[in-house]
Order: sequence, then C-alpha cells, then structure tokens
Amino acid sequence: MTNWNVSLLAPEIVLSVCALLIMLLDPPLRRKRLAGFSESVALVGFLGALFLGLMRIGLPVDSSFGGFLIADALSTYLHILFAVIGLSVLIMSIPWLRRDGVRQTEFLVLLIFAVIGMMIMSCSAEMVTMFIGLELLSLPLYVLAGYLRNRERTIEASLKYFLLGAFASALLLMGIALQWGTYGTLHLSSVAPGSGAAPLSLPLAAAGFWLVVVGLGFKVSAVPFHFWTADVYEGSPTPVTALMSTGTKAAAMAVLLRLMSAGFAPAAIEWMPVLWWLAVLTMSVGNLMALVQANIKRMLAFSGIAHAGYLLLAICAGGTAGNAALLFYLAGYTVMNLGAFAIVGLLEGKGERFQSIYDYSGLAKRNPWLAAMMTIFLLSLAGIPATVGFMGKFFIFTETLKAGHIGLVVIALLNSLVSVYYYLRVIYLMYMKDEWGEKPVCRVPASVGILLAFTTLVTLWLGVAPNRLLDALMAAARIF
Amino acid sequence: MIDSWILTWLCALPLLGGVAIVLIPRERADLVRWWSLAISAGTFLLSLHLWFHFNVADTGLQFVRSHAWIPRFGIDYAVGVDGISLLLILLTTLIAPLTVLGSWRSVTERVHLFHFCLLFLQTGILGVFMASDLFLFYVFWEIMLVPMYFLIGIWGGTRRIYAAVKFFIFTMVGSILMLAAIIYLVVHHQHVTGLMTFELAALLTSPLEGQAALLACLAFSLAFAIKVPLFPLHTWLPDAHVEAPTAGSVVLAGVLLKMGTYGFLRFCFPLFPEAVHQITPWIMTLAVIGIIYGALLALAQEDIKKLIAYSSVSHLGFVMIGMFALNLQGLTGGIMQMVGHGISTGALFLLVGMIYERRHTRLISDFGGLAKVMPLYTLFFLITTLSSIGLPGLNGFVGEFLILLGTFQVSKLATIFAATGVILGAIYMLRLVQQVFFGTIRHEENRNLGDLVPREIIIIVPLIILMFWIGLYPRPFIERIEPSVNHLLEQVDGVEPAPTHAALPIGSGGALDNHAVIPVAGEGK
Repeated sequence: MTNWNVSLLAPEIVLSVCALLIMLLDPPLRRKRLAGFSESVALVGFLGALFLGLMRIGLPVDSSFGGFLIADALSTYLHILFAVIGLSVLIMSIPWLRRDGVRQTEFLVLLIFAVIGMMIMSCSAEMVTMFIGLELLSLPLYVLAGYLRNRERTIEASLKYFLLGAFASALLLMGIALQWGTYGTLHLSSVAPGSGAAPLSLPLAAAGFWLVVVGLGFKVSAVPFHFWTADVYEGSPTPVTALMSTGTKAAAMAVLLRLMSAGFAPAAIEWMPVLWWLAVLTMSVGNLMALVQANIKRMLAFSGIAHAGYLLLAICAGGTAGNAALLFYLAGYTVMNLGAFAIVGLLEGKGERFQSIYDYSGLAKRNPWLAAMMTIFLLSLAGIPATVGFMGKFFIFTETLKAGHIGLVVIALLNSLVSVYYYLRVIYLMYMKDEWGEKPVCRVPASVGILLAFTTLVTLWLGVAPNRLLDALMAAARIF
Repeated sequence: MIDSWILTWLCALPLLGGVAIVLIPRERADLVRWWSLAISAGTFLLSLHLWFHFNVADTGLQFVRSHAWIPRFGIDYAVGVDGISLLLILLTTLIAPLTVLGSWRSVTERVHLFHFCLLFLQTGILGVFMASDLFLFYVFWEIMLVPMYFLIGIWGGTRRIYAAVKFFIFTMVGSILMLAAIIYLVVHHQHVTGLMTFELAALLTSPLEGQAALLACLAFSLAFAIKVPLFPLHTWLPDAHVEAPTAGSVVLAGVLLKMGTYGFLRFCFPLFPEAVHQITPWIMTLAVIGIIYGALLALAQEDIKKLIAYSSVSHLGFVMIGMFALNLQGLTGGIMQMVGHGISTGALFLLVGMIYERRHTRLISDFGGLAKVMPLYTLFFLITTLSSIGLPGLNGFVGEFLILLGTFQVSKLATIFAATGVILGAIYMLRLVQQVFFGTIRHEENRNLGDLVPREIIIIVPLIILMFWIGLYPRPFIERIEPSVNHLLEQVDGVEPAPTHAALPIGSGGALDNHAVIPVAGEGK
C-alpha cells in the first residue's frame, strides 16, 4: 500500500527548482548585468511555496513515500510559516547584501535550501527523514553563519556553530540508531510500542530517547544546550540570525512536539520531570542572561532562549489545546522576532557597526516610525497585552495550569516579569535618552518597510483577534 | 439603543482619537492640543449620559454589553457599570480634559506623542473600571502601564527614568501574580462546572475554598495593594508622583490609585469573601500605619509635590480602612473618599503645576506671601486644601466622616488612630498654606508673579464646584453608590442588608433625610 504521492512535496520541489535555476543561470546572466535575477527567482520560489502551502489548508491527512512523509494540518501550517520566514529573511537580506557588497547568489541558494530543510523536518513522520531535513537545514546555516568570511567574529560564529551542531547531530543520530535497535521502527507514531511495558523502561530505549531530545534541544537552544546561541547570533549576519532564531527553532520545536505528543506520549510520566526542569532552566537562564547584554543581537539571542522555555512549557501542558497554544506562540514569536531583527538589520549600518543597545539612544527623534514599531515588538516579546506575545503566553500558561503545573506557571510568570526589565531598557534608550556619537543614516527600503508594517500589524492583530488562527491551529494540533 | 453601546464608545473614543493624532502634521502642535481637548471633552460629555440614565434602583451592572471574544477560552468582551464604578468613570472622563488643559503650555516637546499617551491612558483606565470579564480587566490593567511609563519617562523631572521603571516594575510584580490567580480561578471553575469562562458573574458561582482561596485572594490583593498603595508597598508612589509631569501626577493621584481600591471592591470582595475576612485585620493595620506614616512623612517634606504625594498615601489608607470595615457606611465612605480624593488631590497637583510653570521650583521655602500677588490662586488653593483635610461643607468631609463612622463599628482603635491622621493632615496642609501664601514675600522673584489666566481658571473651577456640590449635597452621589454597596455586602457577608434609612445618616433614602445633611454642612460655614 505504498503511496508515492509526490505532490505532498510540492513546496519543497518549487523551492528546489528555484535554487537550481539560480545556481545554473546566475553566472551567465551576471555577465550580462541582468541585476535582480536571482532575487526575483528566490522571491517567486517563496511566494510559490507559500501559495502551495495555503492551498493545502483543509485537505485530508495524507502520507507519502511509504509513510515517511506526512501531510497533516500541522505540516501544512509549518510549511506556510517557513515560507513566510523565508520570504521575510529574503526581504531583509537583499538590502544587506547590497549594502555590504557581498556575493548574493550563493547566499540565496543556501537560504532556500535551509528553508527546504525546515519544511522536510516539519512533514517527516519518521526519524531518518527528519534527520535529513535537519541536516539540510543545518549545513547551509553553518555556511551562512560564516558568510562574511573576512570577518573574525563571523568565522568564530560559524566554526562554533558547526562544531557544536555537528556534535549535536551525532548525538541525535546515535539516539535514532538506538531507537531502531530497540523498536525496529523509526516512525514517530510507532516508536515506544504499547507492549504493556513502560515505553522507556529499556535502558537502550531510554538512552535513545534522551539522545534525540538532547539533539533537538541543541537546535531549539534549550538550556543547558544553549552555549552556542549568543555567540552565533551575534557573529552571524543579521538576516541569518533572524532565520536561525525563528525558523530553526520552529522546525526543531515542531519535531519535538510530534515526538512527545505522538510516539512518546505514553511515556509522559517519565519525561515530564526532565522537561519541567528543562523549561524552568531555559526560561530562567535566558532571561537572567539577557539582563546583562549590551549587544542587541545577544540580548535577542538570550530572549530567544527564554522564549524557547515558554514553548517547552506548552509541551509540558500537552493535549490538543496545549499543542495549539504552542503553535500559536510559534507564529507570534516568529512574527515579532522577524520584525525586531528587520529593524536591527536596518540600523546596524554598513559593516554592522551599530549593534549596541546604546546605539538605539534617541532613535525616537531620528526615526519615530522605526522606534514605534520596535517598541511594539519589544512590548510583544515582553508579553504586554494587546500584542500577540501576550496572547500566546496567556494561552500557554492557561493550558499549562490546566494540566496541573501551577509551579511551572508561576515560575514562567516571574520570568516574564524579569524580561520586562531588559525590553523596557531598549524602549527607554529609544525614547528617553538623547542620541550621542556617530549615528548611521538609515533609509528604509520599501520592501523592508512593507515587511515591518506587516509584522507590526500581525503582532497587534493577533494580540486582539486571535480567534481564527487559534481555531485553525486546533486542527493542526491533533497530531496523528 | 445607545445604552448598549455607550461604554464601548466611551472606552474606544480616546484611543481612536489618539491614533488619529498620527495624521496631524509634525509642526502643528497647537492642532494636536485642540484635538486632544476635543476628544477628551467629547468623551466627558458622552459619559454624562451614564450619570443621567443610571438606574438608581438597579443593584447590578448597567449599560451592559457582552460579546464572545475568544470563545475557545471562554473570554468575553463584557462591560458594565454599577454604582461603584460609575463615579470613577465620570471622574476619569472629567479629569482628562483638565489634564489636557493643564499641560497646554508646559508640554512643548513631542506634543504628538504626549497627547497620544494621555488619550491611550484614558482608554486603559476606563477599560479597567468597566470590564466585567477578568481577562478584559487584566488587559486594560496592564496596558495602561505603557502610556504612563512614557509620560513619566519622557516628560518627567530629573529622576524620571528611575521613577518610570520603578512604577512599571512595581505594578507588574503584583499583576503577574494576579494573572496566575485569575487563570487558577478559571481552571477551578472549569473543573467544577465544566465550562471555561472569565466572566466575573459566572466565576462567583464556584468559589474557591480554604487555602486556595486565601492564596488567590493574596495574589489579587498584592496587585491592588501595590496600586493603592498600601504601606509598605507605597515606595513607588512618591517617586512617580513627583517626577511625573503635571498631567501624569493628576491622572496618577486622581484616578490611577483608585484602580487599586476599585479592584478590591470589584474582585477581591465578591470572589473571596471568607479570605477577605481573614486578611481584614492585616489590611486594617497596614492601612492605619499608612495613614499615620504618610501624614508624618508629608509633614517633613520641603517639596510641595512630594508633600501632596505622601498625603495621598495617607488618604488612600482612609479609603482602605473604610472599605475593610465591610459595612454600608465604611464602603460608601470609601467610595466617596476615592472620588473626593481624586477631585481635591487632582486639583492640588494642577495648582502646583501652575505655580511650577511660573517659578520652576516647588520648594516650599522658595515661596511665601503669595496671597498678596496671586489672590485668586490663593483662594482656589485654600478651598482645595480645606477640601483635602476634610472640612465640613467640602467634599473631603463626606467620605472621611462616613469612613470613621463605619470603622468605629468595627474597630475603635483603628478609628482613633485614623482620626489622628485627620489631625496630622490638617497640620501639614495648613503649614503648607501658611508658608506658601501668607507672611511676607521673601523672594523678589515672587513679587511679579501673574495671577491665574482664564485657561487656568477654567481648569480649576469645575473641580471647585464639585467640591462644594459633594460637600453640601452628596445625596445624588450616595444614592447611586448605595444599592451596589448593599449588593456587594450581600455577596461578602451573605446576610440581608440593613435597611438603608437606618444605616446611613447622610443623604440616602427619602427626602426626609435631607435635613441631616444641611446641619452637618452648616457647621463648617
């Protein structure tokens, strides 16, 4: 009964074709000075993928390639999310590529492949396919992180990311192998067989499971697997940082979600305490470390770690509603982070010189619109009402409390209190401090302007009217 | 028809007006001021509808509007007004245009943003007073921090940043735990009834018990006590009040503090009746300490604004003991005192703002003998001072008297200490008046100060009128408050309310009671 329905991979195929087109045609065309060719192809690719993703909404669950791939509402949702992320990162990166005069062909191709990797992760129903997706995502990112290869910090970031990433991949692969050895299957839904024995009672099975969790924990930058995050985020080009902080996190979180709420759900009693601590550590360390950062990208890196902690909370909550809360938060987190990084990318100036939070002093006077939008993103990240950040947190906390983890919710709430302080500090600098020193002349390209307007509006809109997305996500949250 | 929409419009109008400021060209600051004045005045006129069409006989919420907002979580957009919130809403809408006028000349930088914040703040505060869904309430409760943060932080005094951040973080500490308690309440309700809802009325049907109720009550109380502020959580208040620009101080003292006391009445009392009885002695003690401590600190201040700020701590302590007396007089007095304090302290901050605009100092020692150069200003300041210290015939008396009356039935000791606070209040306020306005002119700069201009008279006169109105004829106010207070007492005690005639010496009930007011007021004449 093997089903080879290739159409499930339509978005991936469109993107791959575009990437190949760029690789093949860019060199001859460049000589003819046909500027903008590769950008346009990439743009078409992401728009096409987005369109195909939207087309899948409402279709019944389907699987393909012998059950290796699955097209359910969850994968559809994530495909759309990744297409949006790819599109946004593309829009952010074009002015950056021009500004710093970097070669763009390879950049675009790598970006597209990374997004394809995320998409494959999101629709894999089996661990090896998932691993292939993960590698397809990671390898381009290692290169992208070090794309400005004449800059020391970038090289450091890339190398660090590569070494630690490879290590994590190895652990993940080891875990997968152990799973295979124990259960003889790698399907996410059927690992941990219901043979009456507790699913993780076998030592090998337990080891395999935890290795997989560690491997994924590295990608979502959960504490204590987070040590690479700040350095890599800081050193990478800003659009790449945006991609890592939203896309990679979402993809790995989605796999974790599938894993925990499908195959390993019966073992919840065993992994719950560990996940509980993982969530607490991730939130707390992320927020506390963010307090002392003076570089905006490092600050956002640690804030991203903290947000990964909130997402882990939702996995602790479990259940369809808990999963829906997680997916909602992913959307919100993605939107507000993309917006924030887009502004960081605009303001850092040529050579990425202005990345200190103190460079934001007096921004409200120089550029009131950028300051206002940044304020909205930061307030949303801090979880102030009327923003998607608040709604998402509220959903997650409510579901977690429903699942009975009162302590966890209180810790999370106190954490968001801590986070208010460092987000407010940037707002304070933008509005209440006079500018000083050399400041970049900041022109906002129309494309980035549209991206910012879009992310701002979505941040506010989902903060006021989350219903439709939430309802749609309830369907996506019924996993398997 | 209009009844079902009015609250929504009232709440939305300032925000919409505030957003529309974006459309006004950058150099037209004057237009922004006029626009902001028009919007806030329009909101006030709209809110008068509530005053006239409020049904005195109805104990429940009126002008109710309810819509499903996020059905999956049982969250509604639900608003309504009862006797407790009516006056606070009117106070808010009244103060808003006055603050706009009050900052007409003093705010010259970033006027657009300033008025946006002011209008946004108004929406937040109005929302707090009208929400009858806990989620909606929380949204407004939190969101109003943002414009206030900007108001203090951008247009404030020298230590504005410290004050703004302190204000934000302090309030946030309380509200974060309140959110946990709200979610807990809702989840508990769902366990009991199977329904998920954030509607206050529904949540009342599944009360928490024992330890859980006490903890949840404490979480709510912490949030509200910080806002009130109750000793020892008051330390943010002097900083915020002193550093804020005039408009900010007026809104803070006039309305914002009442969000805390209102929260106790609206949520703590009905949701956790037993726990409230448990914590009453503690709250009473802290409130009494606050009354005396605030008054003593006020006595020691050199800065006029700081003095008034500490007097707020003292006055809000009065409100708290009145409310926690948990009887008709105490509660009614507490609400009257909220309104009274909003009017008189709002007026005091406005008046201080006016003198600051002229002299750019607020130190008591920099003044003296102002009565000679600014007679009109002196008159208004004097009336406001007398109202603030509770002179019979002015608004402060009504609340204070009822509070003491209510508290006396519960705790004589607390009443005695609180009464000491009244005396101390008279001392520090009269000392202030004496040193600023009377005696000889000690500083040459003060010799040529101009008296109030028409704009400033327009600001202050409505408040003066209200002081006399409430002081001389409080019945229309009390009769609006009373039914809701009775209803609240039923919820808290589960007992039949006492007949209103016997219970209240001032104001309420039939025409016969009128004579009770007049002799009392007459003593002051």
